[in-house]
Amino acid sequence: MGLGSYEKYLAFRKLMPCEIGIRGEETIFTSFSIISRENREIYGMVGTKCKKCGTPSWPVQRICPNPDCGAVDQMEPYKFSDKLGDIFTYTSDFLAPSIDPPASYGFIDFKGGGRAGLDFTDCDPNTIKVGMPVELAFRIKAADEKRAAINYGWKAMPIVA
Amino acid sequence: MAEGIKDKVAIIGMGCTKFGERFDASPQDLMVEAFVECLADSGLEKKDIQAAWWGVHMPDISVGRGATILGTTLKLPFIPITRVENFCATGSEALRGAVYGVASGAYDICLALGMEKLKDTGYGGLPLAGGMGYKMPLNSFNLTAPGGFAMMATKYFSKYNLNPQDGKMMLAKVSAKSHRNGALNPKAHLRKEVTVEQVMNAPVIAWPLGLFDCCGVSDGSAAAIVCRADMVKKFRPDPVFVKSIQISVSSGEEMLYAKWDGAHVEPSYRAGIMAYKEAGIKNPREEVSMAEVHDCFSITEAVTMEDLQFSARGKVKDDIDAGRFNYDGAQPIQIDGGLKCFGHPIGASGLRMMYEMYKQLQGKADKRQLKDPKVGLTHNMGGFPSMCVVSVCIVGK
Ligand SMILES: [Zn+2]
Repeated sequence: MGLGSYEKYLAFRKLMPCEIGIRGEETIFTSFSIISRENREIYGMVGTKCKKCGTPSWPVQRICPNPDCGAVDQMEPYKFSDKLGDIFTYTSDFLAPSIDPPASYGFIDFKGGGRAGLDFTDCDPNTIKVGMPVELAFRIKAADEKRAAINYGWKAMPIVA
Repeated sequence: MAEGIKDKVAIIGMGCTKFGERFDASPQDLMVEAFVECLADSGLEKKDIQAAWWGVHMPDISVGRGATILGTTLKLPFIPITRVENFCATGSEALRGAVYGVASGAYDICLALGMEKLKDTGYGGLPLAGGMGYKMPLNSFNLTAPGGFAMMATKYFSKYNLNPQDGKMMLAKVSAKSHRNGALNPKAHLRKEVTVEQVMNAPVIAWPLGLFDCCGVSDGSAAAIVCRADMVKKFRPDPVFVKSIQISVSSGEEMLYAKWDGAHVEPSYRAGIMAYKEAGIKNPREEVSMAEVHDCFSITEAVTMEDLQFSARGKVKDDIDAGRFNYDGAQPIQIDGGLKCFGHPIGASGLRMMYEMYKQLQGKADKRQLKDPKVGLTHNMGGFPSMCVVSVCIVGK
């Protein structure tokens, strides 16, 4: 733990090899038909909101998860990428393969409703707290080099007061 | 009106391999080892088995999919075999299939066998083994098993105002207790006692969980033969009767509706309620003599005590501090050493837990024998606290 910023730069740019263990060897397979079909959810972080009871959900749902509602196909698209949230819970994980260990992630509760599990970015693992405010940032998740695909997605960025 | 399965089915034979880094044994060796002990314990012959349920969670790294491997390995004579998989409840799901097969009246005698061979991956932790679908890497995050449960520990500490030191101390006592029990069990993988201080000072795997907060990963297999309760006296004087088997699966409410508190496992609570109702148990804290619960991580065991109503909400620390769940406490938990010391060959774990309850109720648990237990409970939880499958089985004399 504790790479300096120059070493992180080298690791992120793949100029320095990183030991991430056998666990990190799994090859990424990018399904382009899934991206084509579900790109608003994957790249836009667009979930759904129930028109009947107002429950927002991530990811996209057809049936309302509110046990007192359960409406079917009463959803409208609902964008989470511009919502602020706070950290419901979190961990910093040394087992997860990462070029920037520990991998910090958690569940975010969004202002206006909805909850999502997200990787954290641009934060010091030692300063993360339950209840800390976050905003979302569009970042690289992984590179599928075999198919020349960079997989982007949304991460949670703690807002340091 | 459904009447449930209480006292309709009895367990008349069980087998369990030594769990561990079984580099000496192939998957088939493990299956045969569990089956041979189970069949001998039952006193039956192979031809008496009319149907089988076979549990394996990650067959893609061991024996492949389908039911054929059980039939061809054990040379079962063209009987119906069903392969089941339900995350970490896979072994209990196999038992449920066999018990329901008998309770339905379709069969008199059935076999349940679970096996998992994990250590051939060559690395620690559960295998990745794909299997989450092509979409998962596109909209998910870098979640591991310890990380998923560490998030529940973080939330539990936060909700009940435990500082990290006190929270980790509570969890360390859970692991130290199980290691003490596992040290007495020749079939356990990890057989060393550890102190609370060792647990507290171990390297962090996923904050706040350290190495000794995590169960081992092992190879192993376990099996059970069940029969109609009304024919049991012909087979043995000390059968164990199934009082209930229930499974509860997340509705998605926990994450999608966001009312879940993050500090308990809702399907554990629900499966417990269903199982107690079927078994006729009114006060689980008083009536359940002993339990093997899903201690994949120390925090899982701690919150399970609350979910199964052994401890009041937010109060498990008091019971842990008082030694309630120790071998000499009022309600011993993980008397065989638990997942903590057996490790977690996923398809086998539920049946391994039942093996201990069965031996304890028969008075055959050797150095671990409790004084006259009446009711035993097993609990498996598969997936993550936020979205999971939970089984609860209750057995008694
Ligand atoms: Zn609704």
